[in-house]
Amino acid sequence: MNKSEKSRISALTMAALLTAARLFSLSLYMPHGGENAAITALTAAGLCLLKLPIMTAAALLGRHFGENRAFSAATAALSAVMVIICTNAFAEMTAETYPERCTRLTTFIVLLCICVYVASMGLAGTARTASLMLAGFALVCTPVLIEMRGSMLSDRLDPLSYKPVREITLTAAGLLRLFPEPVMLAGLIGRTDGSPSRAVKPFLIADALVSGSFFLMCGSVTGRFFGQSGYAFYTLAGNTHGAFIDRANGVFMFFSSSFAIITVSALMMTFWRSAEMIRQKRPREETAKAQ
Amino acid sequence: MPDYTAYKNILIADSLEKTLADIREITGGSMDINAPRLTINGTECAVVTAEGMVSGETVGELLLLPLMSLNGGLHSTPQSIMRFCTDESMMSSNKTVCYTYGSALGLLFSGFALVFVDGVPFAAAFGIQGYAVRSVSPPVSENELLASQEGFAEVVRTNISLIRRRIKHPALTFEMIQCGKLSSTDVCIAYVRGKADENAVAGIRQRLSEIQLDSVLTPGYIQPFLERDPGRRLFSEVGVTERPDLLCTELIRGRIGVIVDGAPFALIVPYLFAENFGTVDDYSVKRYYAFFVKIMRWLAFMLAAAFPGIYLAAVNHDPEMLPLKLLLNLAAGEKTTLLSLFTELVVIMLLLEILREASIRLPHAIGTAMSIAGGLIIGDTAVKSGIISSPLLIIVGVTATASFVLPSFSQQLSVLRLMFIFAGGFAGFFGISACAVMLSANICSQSLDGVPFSSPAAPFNPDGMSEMLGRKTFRRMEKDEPTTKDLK
Repeated sequence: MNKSEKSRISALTMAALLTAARLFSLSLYMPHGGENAAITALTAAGLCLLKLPIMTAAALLGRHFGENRAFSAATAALSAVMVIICTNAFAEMTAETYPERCTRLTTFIVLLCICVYVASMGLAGTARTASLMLAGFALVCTPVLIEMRGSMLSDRLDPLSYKPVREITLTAAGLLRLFPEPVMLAGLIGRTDGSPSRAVKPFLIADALVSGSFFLMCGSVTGRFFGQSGYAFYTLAGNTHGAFIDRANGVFMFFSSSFAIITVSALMMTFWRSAEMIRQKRPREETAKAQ
Repeated sequence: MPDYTAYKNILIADSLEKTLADIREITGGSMDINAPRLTINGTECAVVTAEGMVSGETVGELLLLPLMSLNGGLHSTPQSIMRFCTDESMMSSNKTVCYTYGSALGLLFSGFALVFVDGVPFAAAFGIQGYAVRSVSPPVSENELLASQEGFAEVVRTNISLIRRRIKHPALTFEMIQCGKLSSTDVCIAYVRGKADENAVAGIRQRLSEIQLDSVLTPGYIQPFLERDPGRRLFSEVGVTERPDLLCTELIRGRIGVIVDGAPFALIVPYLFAENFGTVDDYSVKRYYAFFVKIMRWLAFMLAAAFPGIYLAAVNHDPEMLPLKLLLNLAAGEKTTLLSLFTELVVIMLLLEILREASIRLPHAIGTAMSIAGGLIIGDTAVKSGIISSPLLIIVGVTATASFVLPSFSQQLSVLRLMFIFAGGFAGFFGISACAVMLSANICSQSLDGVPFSSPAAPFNPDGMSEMLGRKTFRRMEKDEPTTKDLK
C-alpha cells in the first residue's frame, strides 16, 4: 500500500464509489423462493429512506471521530470483515456461475491480490475508476437493456402479496446482506472534500433509481419465476438479445467483477487508513501520558 | 578519471602561455583544440576553437581579419585590444566574457571561439558555431496533413527559433540549463509566463538541476526525473513531440516544454492521457469530423489493447455471447487447427511484435522484403498448415491496424495486449475486468504538479470533455484562456 498517498477526492467521486459498491451488491442479489419482484423494487427504493440516517450518521461519525483511536479500530475491524464477506460472496457467485472454470478459493485469492494492487494505487485512482466504470456501465448496459424491451411485459409485475410484512422483511434482509457503504463512508470521509450530504444524497438517489428499475426489469422479464431465477443480475443478462451480442453474460460479468474489485479495494483502503490512524495516534497518546 | 571539475572555478591566468598550457592540461592535449596565435602591435593573442565546432570561414572573417587590422593602429596595450574585442567591435552578436576555465571551456565545446590576450586574465567568447547540423525537416513520427511540415531538429537553438517564430510574445520565456556531469547537455525550459504554473516551472528547474547522470543524450534520459513515481506507472505524465506547432499549442495552454540539445524531440509537462488522442490536424478539419476521428482513436486504443483478449474470453468462456452463425463459423475455423485458441493467439501476437520490432529498425528496402516474408509467407503458410485459424488472422489484422493509429502508445499497447490475452484466456471476463480496473486505477492515480492525468474524464470536467472527445469551436476558443490551473 502506498503510504505516502494522501490524495483527496470530491464528494461526488465518493458518491460514485458508493454507487459502485451498491451495484456490486445488486449484482450478487439472489431472491428467496417465491419473492415478488414488484415488492422487491418497492422495498429497495424504500430502503433508501432507512439508509439516509445510517449513511448520514456514518459520514458525521467519520468526520468527527475519524482520528479517534477506538473509532479507527472499529472501522478497521468492520472493513476487514467486509473485505472477507464481499470477496467470499463474489467468489461464491463465480463458482456457481462458472463452475467448470473457477473454484471458490482461486477466485477468492485472485480477487484479493488484484484488490491489493488497485488499493495500492490510492483512493483517487480507485474512486475515479469507479466513476469511469459507472459511465461505462451506463453506456454499455443501457443499449443492451433497451434491446431487451421485447422480453419485458408489465403484466408480469404484480405488487400484491399475502404476507407483505414478512416478504418486505425478508427482502430487506436480502438487500442489506451486502451493505459495505457505511463502513466505506465512515472510513474515507476524512479524505473527501465538501459536505458529506453531497456524497450521501446523490448516492441514495442513484441507489433508489437503479435498484428500483433493476428489480422492475427483472420482474417484467421473469414474472412469477423471479424467486427461482438465481442471481437476478445474471438472469437478466441471460435474457438479453442484441444485434452484436446474443447473451450479455460476459458484459454483465465484466461490470460485476469491476464493481467487486472497486468495492473490495475501497474497503481495503478503509482498513489501511484506519490502521494508519491508530498507528499515528499512538505516539501522541504516549507522549501525552508521559507528560 | 581525473577530476576535471576542479578546474571549473579556477580563474584564467594573466599570462597567455600559462593559459594555453592550462587548457592543454585540462583537455589532456586533445587534438581537436586549435589555438592559432597572432601578434598585434607586439601583444601576443590566441584564438582558441574546437575542431569542427566553428566555421573556419567565419573565424577568418569575423575574428582574425578585424584583429589583424589592429596592427599599426591605436590599440597597443593588451587591455585596449581586449576592449576592442568586448566593447568596441561587433564580431558576433552572441558574445560574452569568461573569467574561469569552467565557463570558457563550456562555451568552447558549444562552438564558441575564445580570444585570449597576453596580460588579460579573462577571455572573450564569440558564438560562431559552424558544426554540421541536420536542417529542419518534416517530422518522422507525427505526420499531419493540414499543418506545418516542420519538425524539430537536433540543435536546441534551432528548436528555440522554431517556437519563437510561432509565439511572438514577450511572455514566452526560455531558460537554459546544463545537465549531465560529462556531457553538459544544453536543456531548455520553455513556458509562457502568466499561463504556466510558476511552482511547476520552479519544480522542473530544480529536478533538472539535481540530475547527476554522466550524460544526457536524449529526452528519455531526463523524462523519468520529471515524472512522478515512474517505476509504478504504465503511462507517462510527460508528453513527447517532434512538432513545434504542437508544443506551441501546449505552451499556450500553460504547459511547460523541455528541449534537449541533440534530439529532435521536446517534452511537454504535464501531459494528460486524453491529449495523446489529439492531433494538430483536429483544428484544421470540421468539428464534426474531429469528433468522429477522436472517437475512432479511442475505439482503436481499446481494440488494440483488449480486442484479442475479449475475443478469447468470449469464445472460451462465454460463447453464448456470440450470435449462432458467427459461433458456428468460428468453430469450423478452429476445428482445422492444431493448437488451442489461447496458444494460437499468444504465438501470433508474439510473432506480430517481432515483425513490428524488426520493421522499425530495418532500412526501407529490406523492410518491404521482411513484410512479404513475415506477413504473407508466414501468415499464409500458418493458416494453410493449420497452425492458426483464418478468423484469428482477422483479429490480429484488426488489432495491428488499430495499434498503428496511436504510435505514441506502442510500448504500452504491446504489453497490455498480452496482459488482456492472458487474463481473458485464464479467467474470461473476470480477467478482462481485472485488467481493465487495474489499468484504469493506474491511469487515474497519476497526477503531476496537481494535474490529474485522467482529467477531464476523472475528475469530471465538463468544460474539458469537448476537447477530449472532439475539439472546441474557434468562437469558444476566443473566449477561453486555458491554463493548467483549470485542470486541477
